[in-house]
Amino acid sequence: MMTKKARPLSPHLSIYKPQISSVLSIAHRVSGVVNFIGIAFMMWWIFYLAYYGQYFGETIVYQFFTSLFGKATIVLWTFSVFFHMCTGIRHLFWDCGFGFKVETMNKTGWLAVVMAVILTVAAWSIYLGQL
Amino acid sequence: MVNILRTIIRGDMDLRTPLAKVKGYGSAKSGTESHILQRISAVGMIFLWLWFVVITLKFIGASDVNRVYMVNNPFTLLGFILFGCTAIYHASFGLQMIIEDYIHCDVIKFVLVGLVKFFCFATVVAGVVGAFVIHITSF
Repeated sequence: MMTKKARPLSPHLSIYKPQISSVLSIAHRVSGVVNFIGIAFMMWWIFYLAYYGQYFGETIVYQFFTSLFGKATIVLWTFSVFFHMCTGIRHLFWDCGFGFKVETMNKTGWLAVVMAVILTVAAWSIYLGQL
Repeated sequence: MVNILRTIIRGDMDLRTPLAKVKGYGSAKSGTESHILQRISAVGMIFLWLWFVVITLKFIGASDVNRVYMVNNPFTLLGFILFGCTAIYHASFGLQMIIEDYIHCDVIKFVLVGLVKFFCFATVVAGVVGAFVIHITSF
């Protein structure tokens, strides 16, 4: 009651200089939500296809994902999943007690970003090679 | 002064600090399960996601006959159901954590977590039913 004064709270996100640690921490959360939206969409889309699969070509979803913007969305979504996987592996190492040194943390952070890009490019190269 | 009057009128006069009020209560003795389950499903997701990417690329590269054969394969169905369920299960913990971190009003927090959990459940059911129907009708 008496203590409810408008005191400054610690995370002033807006005044911190963006660093690899903080940016990846936020991006891990954001990519997690993006991945959820993608997977949830995929599940409902499969449910739709199971019953109305013959009308697949007439749907707005089909029109969206065959457009350039839609294709870019899928590529960015796969990047989001690969990114979440790479930073997630980093989190699992932390849970096991490894990689807490600042230099190590910065290195593994960049490694996660680079690995996510490589995996995304690799997956889509294989895709394009198979068309 | 107004605050003190208010506490006296309400009858919950307690001038201790918020920290002093909770000291000595001990831990809630639960809450680690979701942390551990999130980690276990995370490890599962690494393998399931890589499997999903490989199987999708294989499907794209396959001929029409082989595509039907892949959809008929019970292990594809099993893998997809495991992939979907584990992904949504993993996500439900993450979403709950995000809601609990950023929503401070208890009522809104509980309602949102409940709605998200129910949506996750409905999504899993939809995905499993859809995949199963596609599997069965592809014969």
